[in-house]
Amino acid sequence: MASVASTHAAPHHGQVDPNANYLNAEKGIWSWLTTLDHKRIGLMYLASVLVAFTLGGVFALLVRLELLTPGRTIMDADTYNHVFTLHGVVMVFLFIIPSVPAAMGNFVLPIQLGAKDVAFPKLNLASLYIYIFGACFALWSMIHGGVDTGWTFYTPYSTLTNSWVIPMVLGAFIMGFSSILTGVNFIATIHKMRAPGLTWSRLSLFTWSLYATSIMQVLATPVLAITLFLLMIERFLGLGIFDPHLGGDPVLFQHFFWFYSHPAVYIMIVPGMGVVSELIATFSRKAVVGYMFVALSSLGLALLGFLVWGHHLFVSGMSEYSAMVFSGITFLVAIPSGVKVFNWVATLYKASISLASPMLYALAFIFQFTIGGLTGLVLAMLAIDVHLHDTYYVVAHFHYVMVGGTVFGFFGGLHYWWPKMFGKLYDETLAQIAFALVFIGFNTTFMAQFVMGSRGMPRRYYDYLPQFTIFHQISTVGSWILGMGFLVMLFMFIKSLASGKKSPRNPWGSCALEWQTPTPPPVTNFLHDPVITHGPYDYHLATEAELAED
Amino acid sequence: MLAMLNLEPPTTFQLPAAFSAAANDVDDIYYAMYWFSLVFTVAITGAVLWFVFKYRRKPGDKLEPPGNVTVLEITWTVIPILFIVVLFHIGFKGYVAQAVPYEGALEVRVRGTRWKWEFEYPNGMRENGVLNLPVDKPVKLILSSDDVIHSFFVPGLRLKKDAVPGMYSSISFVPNVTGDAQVFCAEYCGTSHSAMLAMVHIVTQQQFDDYLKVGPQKPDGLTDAQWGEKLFAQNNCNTCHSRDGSRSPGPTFQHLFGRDEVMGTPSGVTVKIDDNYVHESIQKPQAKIVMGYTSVQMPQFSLSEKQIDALIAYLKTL
Repeated sequence: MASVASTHAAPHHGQVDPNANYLNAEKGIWSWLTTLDHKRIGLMYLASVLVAFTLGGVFALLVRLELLTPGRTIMDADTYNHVFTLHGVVMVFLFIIPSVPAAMGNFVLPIQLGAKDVAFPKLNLASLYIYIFGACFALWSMIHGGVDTGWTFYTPYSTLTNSWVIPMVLGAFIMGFSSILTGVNFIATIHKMRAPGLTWSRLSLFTWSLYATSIMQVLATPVLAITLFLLMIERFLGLGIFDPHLGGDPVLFQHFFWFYSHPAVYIMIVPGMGVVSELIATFSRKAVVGYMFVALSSLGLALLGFLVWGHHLFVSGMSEYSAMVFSGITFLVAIPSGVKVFNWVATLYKASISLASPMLYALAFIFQFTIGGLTGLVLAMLAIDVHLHDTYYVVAHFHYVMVGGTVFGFFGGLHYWWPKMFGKLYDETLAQIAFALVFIGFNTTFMAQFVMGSRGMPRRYYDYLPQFTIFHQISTVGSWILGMGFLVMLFMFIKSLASGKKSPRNPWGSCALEWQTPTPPPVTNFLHDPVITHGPYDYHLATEAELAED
Repeated sequence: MLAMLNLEPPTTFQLPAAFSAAANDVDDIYYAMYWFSLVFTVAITGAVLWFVFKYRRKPGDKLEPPGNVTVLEITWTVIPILFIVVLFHIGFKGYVAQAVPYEGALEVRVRGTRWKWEFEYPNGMRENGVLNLPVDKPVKLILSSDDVIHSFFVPGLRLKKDAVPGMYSSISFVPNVTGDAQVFCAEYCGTSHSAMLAMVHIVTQQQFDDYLKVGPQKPDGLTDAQWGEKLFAQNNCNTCHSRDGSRSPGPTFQHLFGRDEVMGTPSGVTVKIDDNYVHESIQKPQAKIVMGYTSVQMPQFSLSEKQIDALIAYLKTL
């Protein structure tokens, strides 16, 4: 996309060895732990979130296994309550929030901007350590018996239960700061570090999505910090804030909590949408239709994300007028979401489509996000939400958005940028087998949950009535297929690291900027300072040399 | 009509049987929305599959920029706005219909406590786990909670409302079919959250009046112990007391009678478990608490003498 080899680009100093890259420039564990290189920090985040994903996934499989039969299957009720809580806490705070922004964003964003690094490299490393510090608190709480409050920590339950709520909450509190710092860093980077010629209308859609996400992280996360801080004060000092026995208001906690956690849902999904835009452009060899509309729809989602928290409280005794307003604004979310989906589909029209594994994840994302989005509309309808609230229907809905959306986007992106990160190709056949298992497993697991939810099965239930057995069993079998898919994927990636073929510079024939630099990139990302002459998806302007493999 | 014929209302694949006209209205909205979503999903997925097939990569593909799409963008922004205005309106109308209380409604207090539902009728009569209601008569349930947040959920009425400690909330409806509607607790409340169940028993006006007059009676043909077993389930005793010796929030009821237990309150006293101890523990749960269980707040149970007799008869069989 850029004239990286053009004559007016200044050669970078210090790059002598043509085989030197960010992975082999310095050796030893210490060089990783003290690195300021955004790519290495991105990989360390990637390793951390994958560990968290595995942990959260094991908890999920345990939950599903327990629900295979009514009554006790493998654990007692208290253990089950801990396990489903830990599944939620680990997946939300340790995996999904940092997954795309901190792991992939850190690696890809500066390269897509033609920059050598993020604006504040030391702050970037600090945010990684803050995340790990917070994760240690969460782990400490888990090892000492964990929490049984659900990831939402609703009061007064969370102030009455005698399990390890405080260290867990403290962990989430600390990890919030990591999220804020990453957000600040990205905003500054996008504003100040763009290469010459990289105007706002030439930014990649992934960059736009990270920009919208960062704004939410910076504005919403402090509210979580305040809320969790108040919760700790209440437990330690007995100050009545949320506990009615002390004169507090339990519904106030729900307002505070969702004022953060609803934007957080968009912090989770918007970067995934950004990844999907990249995948669709590259594997269709076509600019995303309605580029500016897609870019601005991310900002639209960021804005609306702040205004819909009340839709989690429709049956909490909130006033009917508030419910009306929150329902109305929630419907508006459909507009920017629809704009994205319609434009992705339109991009496929008259394109040149390759069904490589990253694209399969992107297409599955469109299908599953459509279902997640439309069932979101069902839940936004007040009359129906009263019935469906806190049932498995809601569980299925948000898993279709969070897993069917974000997790598919995350793994699509991981397949896509894997050669860039490690300089190795992977076994495409294995990747497609893994995809097929993940796709079938996911849809089996959660489609069954829609039906049992609308039939009245409440969520967070250890035991259930016999009429729900068949749906639980389908769902549990689905979770095994899903787990198997991830095992195949893990094997495929390990095999690639161990014995993968060397990746060419541009294995996908993409004209995006990150594929114009050597693979894996040098420490400073580019051999010469890039000058941008066209956008990341302008295939009609790209030269043969840019699209060539090497 | 259905009430007179005493037919069970029909169940569809996605929704349970409906016990009120308002629930039928919700179902209509649900299915309209379902078909709307299905058509959209099929259209989008179909377009994706068709394009992927038609425009699969071939050598010599021309790489072209998308043309001017402003008209298209405006179309797929404006048309969904029209859709959502309509959907919002339908959803809100249904919600308001449920939120408005009826004139002259029968008021019943519903109290959630970990882990049982207690119902109190206007005449002061209380019963756990079963709510009797007359068919075709407006009802207003006034919800409250003693400890944490619970949520009173009746899928058969398509209704749900949180019982929040420190405040009252309410739901109103007119059941139009006789039969049994399941009650769940839908807000997570701890160990036995999933066992915090109850039943709405919709009966004829005559049956309801009789019930209010004489209170809960032993069903015909049951022994005391059999009735006790029913009461044990209905009062959710199982949520805290196991019957097979396994660990539970309260002491197990296996081989209960004749056991010597050391008390935590009053501290150190040893008590032989007999009829009087059980009787006292149901009516005044905090009087003598077995060592190791003093942190558990067992709620008070308002049972008639006959019911307590039946429960004791049942507990002796364990």
